[in-house]
Amino acid sequence: MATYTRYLSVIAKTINDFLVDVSSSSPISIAQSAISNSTELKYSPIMPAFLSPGEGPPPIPEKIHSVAFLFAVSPYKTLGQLKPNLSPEELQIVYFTEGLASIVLLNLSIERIHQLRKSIDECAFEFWPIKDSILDNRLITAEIPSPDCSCKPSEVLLPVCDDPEIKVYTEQISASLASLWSAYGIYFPEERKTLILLSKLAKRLVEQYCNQQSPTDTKEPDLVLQKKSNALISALVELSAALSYAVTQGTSGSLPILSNRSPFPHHSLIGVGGAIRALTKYTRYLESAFMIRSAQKVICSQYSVLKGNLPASVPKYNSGPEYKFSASAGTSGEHFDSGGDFHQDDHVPLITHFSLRHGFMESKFSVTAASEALTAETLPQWTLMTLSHEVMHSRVRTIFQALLGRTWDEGEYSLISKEQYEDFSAWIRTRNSPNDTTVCSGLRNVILNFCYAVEKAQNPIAAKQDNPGYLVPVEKLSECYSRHKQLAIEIVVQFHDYYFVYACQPKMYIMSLWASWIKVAAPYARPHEYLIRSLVTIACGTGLESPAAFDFAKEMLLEGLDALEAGGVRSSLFKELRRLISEEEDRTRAHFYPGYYLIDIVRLFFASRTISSKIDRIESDPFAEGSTDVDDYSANIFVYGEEQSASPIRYSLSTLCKTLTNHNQIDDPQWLTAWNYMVISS
Amino acid sequence: MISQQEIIDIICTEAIEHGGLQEVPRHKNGATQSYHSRKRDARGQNNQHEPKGEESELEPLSYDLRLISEDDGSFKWKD
Repeated sequence: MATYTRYLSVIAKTINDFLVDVSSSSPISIAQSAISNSTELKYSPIMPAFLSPGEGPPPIPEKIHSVAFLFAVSPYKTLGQLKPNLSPEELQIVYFTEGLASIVLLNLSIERIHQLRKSIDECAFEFWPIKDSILDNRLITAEIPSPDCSCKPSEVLLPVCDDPEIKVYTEQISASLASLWSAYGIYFPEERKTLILLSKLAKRLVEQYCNQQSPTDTKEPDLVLQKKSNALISALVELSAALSYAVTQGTSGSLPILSNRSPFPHHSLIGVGGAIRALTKYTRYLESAFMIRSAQKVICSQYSVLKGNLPASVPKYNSGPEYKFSASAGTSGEHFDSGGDFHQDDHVPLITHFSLRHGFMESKFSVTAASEALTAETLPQWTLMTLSHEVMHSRVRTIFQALLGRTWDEGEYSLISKEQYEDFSAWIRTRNSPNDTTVCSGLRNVILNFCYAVEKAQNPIAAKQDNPGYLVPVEKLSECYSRHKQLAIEIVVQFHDYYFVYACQPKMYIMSLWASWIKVAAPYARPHEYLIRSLVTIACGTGLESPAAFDFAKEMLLEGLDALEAGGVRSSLFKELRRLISEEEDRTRAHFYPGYYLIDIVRLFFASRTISSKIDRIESDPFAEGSTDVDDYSANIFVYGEEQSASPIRYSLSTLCKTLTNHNQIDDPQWLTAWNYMVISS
Repeated sequence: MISQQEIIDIICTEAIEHGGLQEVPRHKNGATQSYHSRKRDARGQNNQHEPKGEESELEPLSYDLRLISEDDGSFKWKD
């Protein structure tokens, strides 16, 4: 299938001599050959850059006389600048990659390379002269421009601690920061700011740990003190590990290429630094949009005084017009956008990398993309759209912390405080004639109520055994919250993903969701839970009463599954979903209602037109041309060189849409994957 | 998106909720195919709270929210 992707391979013949080859053969056969000859092999995929509609890929040169690597930080734009300066023959020997050496040119003289470099932004380069297919590494020439100096090294404040246990981590963190500082100066200048912020965080974590070791508050139980110390050490371990990944993946393939093997064996020559840059830019884009309004500030400042009458009865919840998504673009009117400026002043950027073991995942300090996305990002299972879900987890962490979190100085050691329990109790007691409460308090109560309802849904009572008069002590409520908090988090995350990233497109969302979920284990183990999660998400914002909302979501789900199957995406899970939603419709409806109750209220208080317009950027995105319709998005693999910046979210959504509707312009997932990273990284 | 102070406080919350157990799985869990099931459950079911053996002084809430399973196989929420 991969008829466009080529493989640049290097096999060590002696300590100085390397056999260089470009081939369209399967990398498996390259590896098999290396095993047969017991030779050290490094190779990476390279993609012919300039294609023409209706024509196949350019031919591979019969002989390789030279290889030039350009470390362009915005390869999409650089290729656009190069193109008018290349002859028709030269257009056929230009390739792009997923590495830091983002552009590769074959068989050009070094003089011609110097000439071409004048037409592009200055970037590092490495040149290999090749004779009879052999590279003598002593003849390699390279040039590195001066590193970026806009960030001062003195701003990186490394953590210091005498505690031998903590020293292990501070040393590792410091070493990682030093490696990254050097590499980012050349290959990713703007990310030096991230290193400054991470160094401050590491320092703060160490200081907090030291304070824990010599507490001034002697009332705190020893066990709680130790738990807090353990949590801080766990955080240092996580931060240290994430930074190590950033070093090994993000700087692989840097100059000199032959000395910097990538941790990914199938990208061992050039590495995946370009793809890491794309992941990072994708993440930074979302982070910057959400920083316009800090969830923590809105909750603690605005929602702690704003009064509202938040529904407390799950059985009687029926949504209504105020919960409906507004169709008029450009207007505000959402609660989250009111009350003044709540810009987030400081933040800790997420470290991004790939992980085969963790797949798509979020932790406090990092987000990872599945390593499969290096080769098959265009397949719905491994689309970068899933990364947005992980970034949303970071946002939702701040929401749950603001509503139900603990802080270091409050001396509260239980999940639900006395005040919170009493507030919840008073709210529930008056649920049939509710009083206004602060939105902050109401949202906390809605989450607790949802968790309690999920517990009840999982333990239905036979009508004959129904004996009202149930008591819910604080311990029971805490237990329910602890047990079902993760489900509540997932639902709140899915709202954010659906609203901000998928722009409330229910069919697209349901298709994307189930195309990816059929590739993971949990939906097969707990299909009902995942079914409910998907149904409530597309039902939110309809404003429909609960039964009608269920009917709408059911219809949309069935349409989405049919469309997936029509596009060739099939799974035994789809049959089970159809069975659950028909043969067990009544039970599914019953489980749907608490989730709909939660997500609809979350929609009312966390939808933000201010943030969504920042993410869409349809006015300045050159591919959107002012349209919100994903079908109008005009990104084209035959076109280069737009000066404006595309929205990586809209871009990824558009490519996913093309895959789901079988409208990809060529049939080569690796080529398209690398193309997508190149565009996003630029 | 998430401030330094928020992260520090989240760590405190996690100390109370999970007893300081690490969030990211340490050894881990094989194929990506299991990521959704593993990643969110890396700490396992949250059972970090052993019963204290004493009842809270707080008055328990009387709350009759329940899901009724009818004889005909249907379900109905009541509170």
